[in-house]
Amino acid sequence: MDASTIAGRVQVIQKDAVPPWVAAMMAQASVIGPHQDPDGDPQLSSLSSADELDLAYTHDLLPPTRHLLPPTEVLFRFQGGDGLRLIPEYDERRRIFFGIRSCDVKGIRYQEQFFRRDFPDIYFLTRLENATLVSLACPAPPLPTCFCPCCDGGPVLKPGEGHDIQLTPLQGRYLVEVDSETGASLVARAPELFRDATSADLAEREEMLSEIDQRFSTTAYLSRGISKVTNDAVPEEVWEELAERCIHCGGCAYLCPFCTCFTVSDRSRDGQQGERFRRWDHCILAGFTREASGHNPRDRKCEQFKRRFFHKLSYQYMQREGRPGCVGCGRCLTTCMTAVDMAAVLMRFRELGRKPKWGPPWAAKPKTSP
Amino acid sequence: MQRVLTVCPHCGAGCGLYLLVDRGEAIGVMPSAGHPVSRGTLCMRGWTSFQHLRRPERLEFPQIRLNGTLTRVPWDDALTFLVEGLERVRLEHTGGAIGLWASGRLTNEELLLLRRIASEGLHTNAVRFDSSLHGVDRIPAAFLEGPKAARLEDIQAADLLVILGHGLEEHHPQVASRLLKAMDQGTRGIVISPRRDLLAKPATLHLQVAYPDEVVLGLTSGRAGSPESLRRPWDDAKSRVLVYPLKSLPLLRELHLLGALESLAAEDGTKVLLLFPRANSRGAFRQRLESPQLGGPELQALLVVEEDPATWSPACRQMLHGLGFLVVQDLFLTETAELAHVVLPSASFAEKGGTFTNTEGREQHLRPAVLPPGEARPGWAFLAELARRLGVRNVGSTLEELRHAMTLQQRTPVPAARSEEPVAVAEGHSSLKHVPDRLGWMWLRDTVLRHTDDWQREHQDQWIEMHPEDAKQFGLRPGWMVRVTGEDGEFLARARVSDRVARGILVTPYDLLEGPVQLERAT
Repeated sequence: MDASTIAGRVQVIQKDAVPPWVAAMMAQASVIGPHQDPDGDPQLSSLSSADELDLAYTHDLLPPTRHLLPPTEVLFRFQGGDGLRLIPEYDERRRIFFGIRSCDVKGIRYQEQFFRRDFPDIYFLTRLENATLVSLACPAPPLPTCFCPCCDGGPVLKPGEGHDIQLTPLQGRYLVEVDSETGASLVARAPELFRDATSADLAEREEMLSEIDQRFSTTAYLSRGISKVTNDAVPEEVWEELAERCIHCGGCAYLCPFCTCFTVSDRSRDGQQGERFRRWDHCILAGFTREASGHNPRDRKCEQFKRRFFHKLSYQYMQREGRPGCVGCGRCLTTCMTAVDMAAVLMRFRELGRKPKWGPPWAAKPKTSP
Repeated sequence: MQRVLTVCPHCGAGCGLYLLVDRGEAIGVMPSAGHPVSRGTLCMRGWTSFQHLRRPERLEFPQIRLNGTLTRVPWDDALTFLVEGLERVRLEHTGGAIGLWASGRLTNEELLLLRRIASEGLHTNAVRFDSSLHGVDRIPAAFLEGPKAARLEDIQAADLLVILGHGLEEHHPQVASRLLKAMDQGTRGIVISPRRDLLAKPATLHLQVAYPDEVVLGLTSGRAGSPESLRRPWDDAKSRVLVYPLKSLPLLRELHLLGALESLAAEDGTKVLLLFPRANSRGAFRQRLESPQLGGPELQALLVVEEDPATWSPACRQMLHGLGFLVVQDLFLTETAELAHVVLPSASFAEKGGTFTNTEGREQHLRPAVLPPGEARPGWAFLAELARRLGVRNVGSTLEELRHAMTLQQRTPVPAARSEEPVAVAEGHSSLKHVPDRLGWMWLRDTVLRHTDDWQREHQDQWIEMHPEDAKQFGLRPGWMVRVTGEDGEFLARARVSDRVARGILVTPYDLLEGPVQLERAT
């Protein structure tokens, strides 16, 4: 069985055959998979042995996009003196993301779209081109904070949604859907571990899919939030009330699989040689928009807060991005210190008690609610 | 990218965080979701706690002052120079000539070494541990250990939360977050503070007073003076948690308040949660030695570890100028280090092991995730070597041995710290009650935060805050630069004008200006 015959086919692998499969991958690439830190949290990071793999994990607070857009990365080193020399740094390490959630695959593909547009970002794209995505469908919410079905973020991916392989847990085995050539080559590393799916396997998956709706919360009211934000139907006092609570920790942006913001700085001891690096940044900070003159076009906390949700929810951005800026992974619900995360904000908008009204921002403004 | 679980080096909450390490460099942090304190959250200080590590101005090599300039030398030479300098002062002067000044950011192991250096090596009692708690000579033992000492989990379980002081969301965000979420869930809250902050809104009652101690004192003394609105929820509640962030009040008021809390806490179902300012303030308090002599005329030499007394006050700066021998170990060339005769580079929290004791008394381990830059050494490694050279016996050379020594040391009673003469607490300006935001001042002066990119970007200015009517009376407009002048010195700050503060209250981030202050527009 070679890669060309595997693509597009549905296979099955027994649960106990997964570690040998991963071990075969580890020979060629760094496998970033879920495992339990003996002192701490479940996490997705480089496996040192295939036996560490724990596909029954709940969640990693750090989205896998942070491996592709790291918190800090050197863009190039520079040397002054007789003539300026720039030495770019590209990260060409091969990475296989194994067992990441559907929402995170969507996050990675959204970021790809962002980093390809206008000015292709060679740093991100180099990492992405060397990455393979093996996703794991969620038959039930891994955490109570999950709300992906409301945001088109999961819990299961359809063909063409950006994964190379999707694993779906069934009784004692995984259904393996191969969605790309790269994915096919992973299966081809250890073809003896797989068999073709039977109608019984597919029926079990159908049954699981039919139950998903009951298992996931679908009450994040995203569409209503989009309508409110797009139509400018959120009264200023409500924005003020929400923004007042925000204490600018930055956690929601740093952990968001969609957020792409960074800032660029130089680091040098003598001004002659050093490095230019970029580091994560976030739009709720005042310094994010402050200009060199000291003037800040978004000086007030409320404007900064509004900006974040406007980008995530407004129709204006949806037109460009093709989707709302949230996948429902629930990380901001965990990390927000003052409970003004996406779900809380959407709930607050819902209380405004208006019917959803879809439309572009230039449509007639509805009357503001009291 | 690997992750190393360690502890945040900033406030006393002690959040568990992972340092994200790639190819030997700490490139970021993330909170630990399973850690009992952080539970998946970090404040801005925590999120940016890696940003000082690779700053180009980090100290990397030992330096000694030769012909007036700091000159790079090998560690061994610096230590020899240092020991000779200290020995010389010790021979020429009587006890109290050599002082030690250490920050609340040092680990328990480092503080133990400093204690031993003071008592067995230098025979001095001129020691100040954790100047953020300077002057607090006694904290009731019941607030630290036992049934009256609240832990963070108690916030969720309480019927009534009484929060004394302002600015918790800035100074103690982790605790503020828990208090806020508890009140969101319906727990009753009473906030007694000069400013309408984050926690005042969800609270059942906000008593806006300049000095919370006055209201609490009224509550204890036969309850005659306390308002009905405060007394009723107090009486109705079965379990109460009183939260006081240390350093929220001028010193003398703080000492009075701690006494008042002691009698309040005697009531059934009442616990007290004292918030310690720095990562290891509580550890430092347990081991503390504080001497009123430090800074007196007999002081000839001073060893300063990760503290910057030169920024403390003009008087303190003057004192440092007059010293014959000054030694500083720090991460950066602080204003104090600029005056020093010996400057030693120290490793950051991410580059060393050791333990911090958090505000609840939880002892937590730091783990080295990356190597220190250049020849920088962890404080404990330097102090152990110094102790040996000063003749302290059985010092131990690994962290394990130091910890063993600590468990032995705990059995010997800690000598009682001597209290200072109370300083007069003036009521502030003739027409404005002056509330010094002492914790704000502490963070403003913080050496590590001063070298943390994003923190600096967000905290460029110092602020004073006043009510719009008061601003009008003083002829000040929002955003203006104001010169604040008091008996102890002066500083510049921007005017923040908001009705968060009540009329008649002026909040400034300056610790020492307790007397009347003059405000004028700086041009």
